[in-house]
Amino acid sequence: MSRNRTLLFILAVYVSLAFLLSSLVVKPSFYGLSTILGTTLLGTTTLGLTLLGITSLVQVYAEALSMGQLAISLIAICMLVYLELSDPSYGKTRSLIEELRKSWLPLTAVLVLLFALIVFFRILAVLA
Amino acid sequence: MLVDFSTLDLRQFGEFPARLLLTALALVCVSTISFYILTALLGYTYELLLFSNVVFVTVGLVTLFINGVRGSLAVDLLYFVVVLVLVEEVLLNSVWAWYGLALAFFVFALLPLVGIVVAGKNESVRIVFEVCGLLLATRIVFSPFPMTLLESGIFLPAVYTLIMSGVIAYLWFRKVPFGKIGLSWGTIRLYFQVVAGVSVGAILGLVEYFILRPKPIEVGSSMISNVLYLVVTMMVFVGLTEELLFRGLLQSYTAELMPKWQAVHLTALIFALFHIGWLNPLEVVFAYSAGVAFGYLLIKTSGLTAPVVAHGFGNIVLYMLALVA
Repeated sequence: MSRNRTLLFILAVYVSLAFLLSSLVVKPSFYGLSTILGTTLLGTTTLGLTLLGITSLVQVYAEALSMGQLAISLIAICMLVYLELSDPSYGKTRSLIEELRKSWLPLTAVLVLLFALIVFFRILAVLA
Repeated sequence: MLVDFSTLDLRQFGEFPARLLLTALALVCVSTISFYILTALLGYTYELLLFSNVVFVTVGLVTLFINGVRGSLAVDLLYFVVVLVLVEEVLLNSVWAWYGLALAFFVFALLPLVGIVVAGKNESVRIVFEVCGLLLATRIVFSPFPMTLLESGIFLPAVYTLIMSGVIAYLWFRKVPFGKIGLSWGTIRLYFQVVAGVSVGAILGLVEYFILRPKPIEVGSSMISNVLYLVVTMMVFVGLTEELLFRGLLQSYTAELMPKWQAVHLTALIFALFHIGWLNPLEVVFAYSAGVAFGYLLIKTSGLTAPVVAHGFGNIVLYMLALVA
């Protein structure tokens, strides 16, 4: 394994351990304060609440997320079809198609992972 | 306020920090003044949020147009990406959230294609556009989770682990050299990098607390556990992930297309726009300043240690103040 790959592996282990630790400890009652991610859904500053009440925000985002799940599924399917059709083993293709295949490959992997999570949470919801 | 910096003799200061400082000062001053004028005119409404951010981006881009390198299609398209991020964030943080999310999906898939078309054989251009797509993926990763989970304490680690997995997969796939994105020990002693990070982070955390004035956090009896959660979440997830994406990947590769000061400015602009979710225009201006500070630390130390520590520690200070309050 090259040095870069070893470092990536260490990074992955480091993040996994941090995730494990953070899921074990008792969490304070805040969500996403001052992060680029958490703010979108659950920013709870006084000014934020004045502008858009948290109740209406939650309702709006619940609808957006369900549409997002549909979009993830559709885009993931489209990208998988594209990856299959542009597979070099079928024969030579234009360089643009090949390059796009390389660029979309990691993005498709992300979308497939998200799709698996959607399925997982749906199954959990049914079982619950 | 928009001075043509090219007429100034910057050699006495060192061109990079002087240009960066002047640009940042101009943007912060104009945006802050316009925020107070707009507040007086509009009150605290959604229009205030919209117009303040439009002014912020317009001034930020105008300073780049006046003083920055142009003429390259890739650079001009990057400016357009800033506008796209503004539109996406403004929509996402409104009652039209779905349209913002749809735009995020569209740009996420489109930018790699744009990168290929404009890059030619320039690998850096391609990576810059792919990373911009990855940034938009940070909006998409919310979608699979049920609302109940998003409101729980495990949400932050879960989402950030997902994003970090995507980043690691990307680094693996693209074979990005670690030294180039700051994943190294840096050119100065590690001790100084940590001290610099802690100092900058403490100041930023304090300033951000007074800008946001978050509601006091209820702790209960588990203070130590809460603080441990805070340190792990802010340092590992927030600090490392965001700095790796913005400074490590975006700024480092953008700096190959334009002067360093311009790359820091542009990255900080995009970083700031991702803070529109606070629904507080001053927070966006603050995030820009913080982005400039983190970018400067990366360039001066040639490593991500100082920016990660500054970012993480800044957030820890903010939370600790909210805890103590």
